[in-house]
Amino acid sequence: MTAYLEVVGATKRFGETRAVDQVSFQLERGEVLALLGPSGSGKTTVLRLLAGFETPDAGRVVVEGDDVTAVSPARRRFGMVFQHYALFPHLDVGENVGFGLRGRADAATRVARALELVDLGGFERRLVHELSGGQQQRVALARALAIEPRVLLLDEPLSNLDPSLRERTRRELRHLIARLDITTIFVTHEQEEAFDLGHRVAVLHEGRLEQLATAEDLYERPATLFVAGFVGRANVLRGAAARAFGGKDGHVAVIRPERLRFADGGVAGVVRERRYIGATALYLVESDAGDRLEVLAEPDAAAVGDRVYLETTRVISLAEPEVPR
Amino acid sequence: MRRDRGNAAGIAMVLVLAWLVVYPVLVVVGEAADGTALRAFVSRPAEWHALWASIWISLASVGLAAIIGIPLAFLFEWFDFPGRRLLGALVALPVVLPPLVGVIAFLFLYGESGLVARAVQGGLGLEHAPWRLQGPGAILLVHAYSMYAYFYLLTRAGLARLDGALLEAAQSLGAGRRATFVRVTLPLLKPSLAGAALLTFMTALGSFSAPYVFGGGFRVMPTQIVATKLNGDLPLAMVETVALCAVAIAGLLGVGLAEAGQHGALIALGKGAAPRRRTVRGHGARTLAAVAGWALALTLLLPHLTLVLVSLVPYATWTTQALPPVLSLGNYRRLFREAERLGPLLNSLWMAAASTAGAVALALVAGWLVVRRRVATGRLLEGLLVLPWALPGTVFAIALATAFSVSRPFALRWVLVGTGVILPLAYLVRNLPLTGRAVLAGYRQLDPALDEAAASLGAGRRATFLRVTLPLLGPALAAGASLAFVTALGDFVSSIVLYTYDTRPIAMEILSSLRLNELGIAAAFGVVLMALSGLVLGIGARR
Repeated sequence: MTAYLEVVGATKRFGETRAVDQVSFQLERGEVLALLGPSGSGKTTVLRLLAGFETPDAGRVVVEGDDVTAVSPARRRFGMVFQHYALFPHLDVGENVGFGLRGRADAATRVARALELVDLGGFERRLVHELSGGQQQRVALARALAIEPRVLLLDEPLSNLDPSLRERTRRELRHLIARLDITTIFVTHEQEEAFDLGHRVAVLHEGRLEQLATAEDLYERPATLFVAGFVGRANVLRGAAARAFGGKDGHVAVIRPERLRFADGGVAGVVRERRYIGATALYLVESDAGDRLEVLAEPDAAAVGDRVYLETTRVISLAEPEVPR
Repeated sequence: MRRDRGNAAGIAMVLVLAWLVVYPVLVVVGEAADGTALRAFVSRPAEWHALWASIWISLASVGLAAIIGIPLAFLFEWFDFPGRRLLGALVALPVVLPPLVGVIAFLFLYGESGLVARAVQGGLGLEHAPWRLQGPGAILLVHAYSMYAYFYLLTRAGLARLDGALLEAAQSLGAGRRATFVRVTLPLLKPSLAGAALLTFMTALGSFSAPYVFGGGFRVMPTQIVATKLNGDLPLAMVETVALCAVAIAGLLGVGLAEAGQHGALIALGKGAAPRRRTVRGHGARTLAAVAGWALALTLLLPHLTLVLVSLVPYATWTTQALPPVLSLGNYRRLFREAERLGPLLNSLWMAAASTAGAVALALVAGWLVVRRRVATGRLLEGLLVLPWALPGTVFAIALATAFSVSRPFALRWVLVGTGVILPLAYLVRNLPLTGRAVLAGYRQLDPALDEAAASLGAGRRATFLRVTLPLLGPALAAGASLAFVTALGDFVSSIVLYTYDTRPIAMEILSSLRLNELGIAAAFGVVLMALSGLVLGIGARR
C-alpha cells in the first residue's frame, strides 16, 4: 500500500538554526496526524513546509504520488486553518468562504454546503468581526474545506478558544474530519488535544522527529528520553536508583507515577508533599538514597511525613541520550 | 460637583478655541456676504480660472504623489536591501521640510538658471536657458516631489499593519501573487490610501509657496487671494477665501462619503498576528532593489544638496559657468553678522517657540478635559482642535487679518494686525491640530489606573501630573511640539499676509533675498531653516 502523503528528509534552516532537521513520515488517506512539541520545536515550520509557505532546503513533499515540493501554495490545494484564523476583514462570511471558489459556477452552493458542514448555515452575509471566536474558527474551517483540499492543515486550531468551548469544538472537529475522511495534519502543544484528535502523534524536538506513533505507544513505549519526559509525567532514574527498581544496567529507568505504589517492602522513603487532585493524589516521596519520586495513588494512601515503601509495576528502560539534554 | 466644574471648564475651553478658530472665519463669511464683491467674483473669468486651477492642480497632485509614493512604500516595506533603513527614513524627509525651502531648492536645481539647465545649456551650446520653470507644470513637479511622502508614509504604515497570515490564507485558497494583491492587499490598504489622498489634496489645495514662486501668470486660489488683498480689494478677497473654504470642505466630505460606504473595521481580527513577511529575493533582485533605492533617494534629495551648494556661492561670482567657480562660507557669515539678516532668524525662532508653547498648553488642557474629565463638550473640543487643519493656511491668515484689524472689544475684536502678537497667534492656530492630535493620542494611551496608583501612593493631583502624566506624555508631546515648531519656523503663507517689517520671519527674508538676486543668502537661509528643522525634529523623535 503506497502512502497518500509522504514527507522525505525535509530540512529547513533559518540562518544557523535548523528549524526542521531531516523529518520524514508517511500518512495514509484519511489519517489524522498531530504534530506535538514544545515551542521552537519546529512543528509549525513543518506545517508551513507542507502548506508551501516555506521551501525546504532539502527533502520532498509528495501527495498522491505527485511531488509538490516546488509547487506554490496557490496551486497545491492544501487547505489551511490559521492560528488566528486570518479571516479577511474586508469580506463577509460568504465571501470569505467563497474566496477560493472564484469563477466557479457552483460557488454559491459550495459556500452554503461548507457553512452547513460547520453548522453556520445562513451566515453568508454576516461580517466576520461580528462573530464569536468559536464562529470565526468555524468560518476559517469552512473556508479551508470549501476548496475540497487534498490535505487539511490546522495550526493550533483550538488555542484561541475559551477553555469551556475547547472540548466541544474538539469533539465536533473530530467528527467532521472523520465524516469527510480527509487527511489532516494539525499542530498543537497540548498533549490531550494531540491524543484525542490524532490517529497518530509525531513528537518534535529541536527540529527532529523524535517519535511518530499512536498515543498509547508514545506513552507506554517512548523511543527517547525526551518523549518519555514530554508526554506525561515521568520519574527518571539512573544508576543505583534505577537498579533498585529493577531497571537494566547502563540504561535510564523511566517510571510513570501511576506505576509506583505503596507496599510493605521495596524502596524506602518519606512522603514530603501530597497534592490532592480529586480522584487521586500525587505524592512526592524522598527515598533514603535522596531520589525524589512522584507517586500517583489513592487520596488516602499516605500522609505527609509517613515512612513508606515503594514498588513498581512497570519500568521503561531507555538508552542514555548521546548528548545529555 | 466635580463633574459640574469639569463641564464648566469644558465649556470655557470650547469658547476660547471657538474664538481662536471659528470666530475669525465667521467674520470673513459675514464680510463676504457683500453684493458687489459677490457679483465681481461671479462675473470675472480670472476668479473661475483660479478656482478651477486649484481643484485640478490638487487632484493632479494626488495622482502624481500616489504614483511616486505607493511603489516606494512597497519597495521599502517588502524588500530588503543594503541601506534600506537609512534610505527609508531619508525618503520621508520632504514631508517635514518647510515648503518654501523645497521650492527654492527646486528653483536652484531645475530653474532656468539652475544647475540642470546650465548643464544642458553648456552641453548643447545653447544661447538661452533651455526651459523656464514656470506655470502649472512646475507647480505640479514641486507638489509631486514634496507630497509623495504622504502616500509613502501612510502606505508603509498600512503595509506594516497588514497581517501576513491573510496573504498566506489567500495563497492557500488558490490566489496567485497578482490575485492576492488585487483581492486582499489593495482592499486592506484602502483606508491608508484614502487618508493619504485626503492629506495630499488638502495640502495641495492650501499650497502657497510653489504657486507663488513658480506660478507666473497662472493663479490658484491661495495666490489669487493674497494678490487681491495686496491690491486692496478686501471684500473680494473675503469672497475668494470663502470659495476656497468651500472646496476644502467638499474635499473632506468627498473622502468621508467614500469611506462611509464600507464597513468600518478593517483591522485584522487576530491579535498578535503573524509578522508580515519581508520578501528577500535572489542576489540579482537584491542588487537591483538597492540600486533603484539609492538612485531614487539621491534624486529626491538632490534639490536639498543643490541648496547647500548655492549657499556657498558668494554674491555675483557665479555667472555663466556650469558649476560655481568660488565657494566660501561668506553667506553664512553675512547672515549672522548683519543685523537686518540676523533679525528675521531670531524673529522666527521666538515666534515659533511662543506659538508652540501656546499650542502645547491649549492642547494639554483640552486633552485633559476630553480624555480624563470626559466633559460633555469633548467631541466639540476635539473638532475645534483639528479644524485649522481642514482649512487652507491662506484662509486663516485672511481670517485673522480681518477679525483683528478693528477695535470692537464688545465683539471680542482688537487691533492686533501690525503688532508683534498677530503672527505668533496665526502660527498657534495653525499648530493646534499638530499638538492637539499628539496630546489626545498620548492621553488615550495612558492607563487611567496609573493616576489612581499615584493617588493611592499619596501623590496629589499636581504631583501626579508632574511626576506621572507629563513624563508619560513626553514622547507624544515632543513629537507634536517639534512638528509644530518646525511648521511655524518655516511658515510662509500666514507670514506674507500678516508680517510687519519688525516681525518679518525667515520666509520673508528668503523672498526678498531672491528678489534682490542674493541667491546665496536665500540658499543659506534655506539651509539654516533645514538644519534647524532637522535638529528640532531629531530631538522631538528621540525617546
